[in-house]
Amino acid sequence: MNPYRDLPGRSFWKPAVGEREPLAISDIWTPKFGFDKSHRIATFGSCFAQHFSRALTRLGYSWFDGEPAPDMFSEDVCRRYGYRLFSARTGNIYTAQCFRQWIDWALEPETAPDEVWVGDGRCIDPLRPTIQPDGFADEERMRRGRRITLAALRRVIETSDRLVFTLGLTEAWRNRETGVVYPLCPGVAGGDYDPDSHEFHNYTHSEILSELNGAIATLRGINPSLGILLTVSPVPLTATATGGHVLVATTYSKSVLRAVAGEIAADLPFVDYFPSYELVTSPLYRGPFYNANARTISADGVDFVMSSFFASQDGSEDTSSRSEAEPHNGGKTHRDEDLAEDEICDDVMLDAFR
Amino acid sequence: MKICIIGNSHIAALQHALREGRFARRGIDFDFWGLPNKQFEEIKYDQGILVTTNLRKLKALFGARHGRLKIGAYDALVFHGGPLRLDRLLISIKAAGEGFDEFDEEFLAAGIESFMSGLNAIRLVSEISDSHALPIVVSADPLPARRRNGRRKNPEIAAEDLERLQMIVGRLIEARKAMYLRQDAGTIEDAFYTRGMFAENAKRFKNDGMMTKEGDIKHMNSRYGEIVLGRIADLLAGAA
Repeated sequence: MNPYRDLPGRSFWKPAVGEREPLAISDIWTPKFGFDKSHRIATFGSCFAQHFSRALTRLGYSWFDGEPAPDMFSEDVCRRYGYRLFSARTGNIYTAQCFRQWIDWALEPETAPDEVWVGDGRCIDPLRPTIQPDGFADEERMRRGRRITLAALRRVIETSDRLVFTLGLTEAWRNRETGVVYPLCPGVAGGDYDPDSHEFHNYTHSEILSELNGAIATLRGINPSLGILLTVSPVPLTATATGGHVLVATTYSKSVLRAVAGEIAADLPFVDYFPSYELVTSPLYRGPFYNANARTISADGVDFVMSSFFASQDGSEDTSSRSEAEPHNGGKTHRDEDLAEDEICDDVMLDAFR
Repeated sequence: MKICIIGNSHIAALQHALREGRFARRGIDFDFWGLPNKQFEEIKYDQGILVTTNLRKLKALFGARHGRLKIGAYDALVFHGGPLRLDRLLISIKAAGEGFDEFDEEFLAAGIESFMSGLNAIRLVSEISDSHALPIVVSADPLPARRRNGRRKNPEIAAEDLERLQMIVGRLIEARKAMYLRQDAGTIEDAFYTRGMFAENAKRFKNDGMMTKEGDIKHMNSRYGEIVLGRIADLLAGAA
């Protein structure tokens, strides 16, 4: 007798992986709690999180659009202005630190920083620098827009049944004086980088664990029945500010995020981890889910991840974007590069500086 | 001045106003051309001519001579009830937030532009104004009248929201080298509704003298058409 005798097949490499075609590997995730169509599901995080909201909407789940745009406005315009991407108009939230900031500000809007980046007569919101193309016309409009988003975020937190948060990065830039963590380095999409005011920080496992635990405790304090699903984005870093090689920096970042997510999910019954990172990056699949740039995820990759997610719910959903009539682009379907390019990813702007 | 009024079923009010002798002004002749809503979306502009493949419907409405509309035969064009769907836009904005204040002005302008640029009437206006120098008017289709049967709720829209929408729509139309003609303020009640009296005894677009369906709150009568014709004439006289 030993503890391995009664374990299911999925616990053993040979039957679960070694003897299967990679795409036939199944049972990869056993959800702690279900996602059904009656649940109000919120999504936030890095750009990969946008695939969750799309797939949920496409399959008739109740994705919670807490800050909706008028339904007669085009998808393109709404997405350019940060609508329909996440459950509130937060823009990409790459780090656990930024996630916690947003939650804290939603509860106490008066604590949100006063900082405004002004350039060419336009006002950029440092907390979401790309939310408004070319920035806001004036400071008051910027602040009003942020207040609306914080109120929406609070409603989302209070009334969601499930919240999916996709962790993206460990690297961030912050204000030395206020401690505010920016989603993008000042100077990339607004503002001016000033080494006396801004500092780089690569968050450690313990820092992220602490921040994410804090964020989750706050979420559950407001909404005790909220189920939280953590995922790690499989999209590599566009650039690293560590001075090291971006490949090595990516491995560090994703490893730390994966470890934190796993640790929290193991500790807390209302937090689960979904392995979107493993489904795309495992060497077993031999990398077919990346586009030619070896960074963005192909439509097949997204389909594979989302199919795995929904198969674990009731095993019946076809998430393939191929199955959906795509009305855009004169009949051209959103496949491969197109689909990935459709994500709104702020960090891609760093490519302009190489 | 020879003016062609182009549009969908909303032009019936204007047609009937003329037929009933409610409007006559020396030196102004009106022609009408168009198709009901869905078919209107299929009308195309091709080298100085508006064309449609739906000739049977067109013939039933206007007679054989109007199969193709030569732009050059007119001194001015008026697109009426193209439709701009101001009511639907307002309801859509209201449903998404509490009203216009929930959204940044630039986003609203971009969103409304995205909606309007998908309307066939606006596409036609852009194409025609790129190739012709004649005055073009885009006349708003009427706001709905209030529902009286109580089965469905009448949405409440603030007058300021309608005003802000009109300002944005006006700018977008002027950017296409056309003039925007708002709905006459005297025909509006409760900020967002066409006065009920204008929806009474409205006749159909079909050339059969029949009334619109009982409870139709979208289509207006010849008294409304008379007001619109007068405003069109005034606007074009001022522009001439």
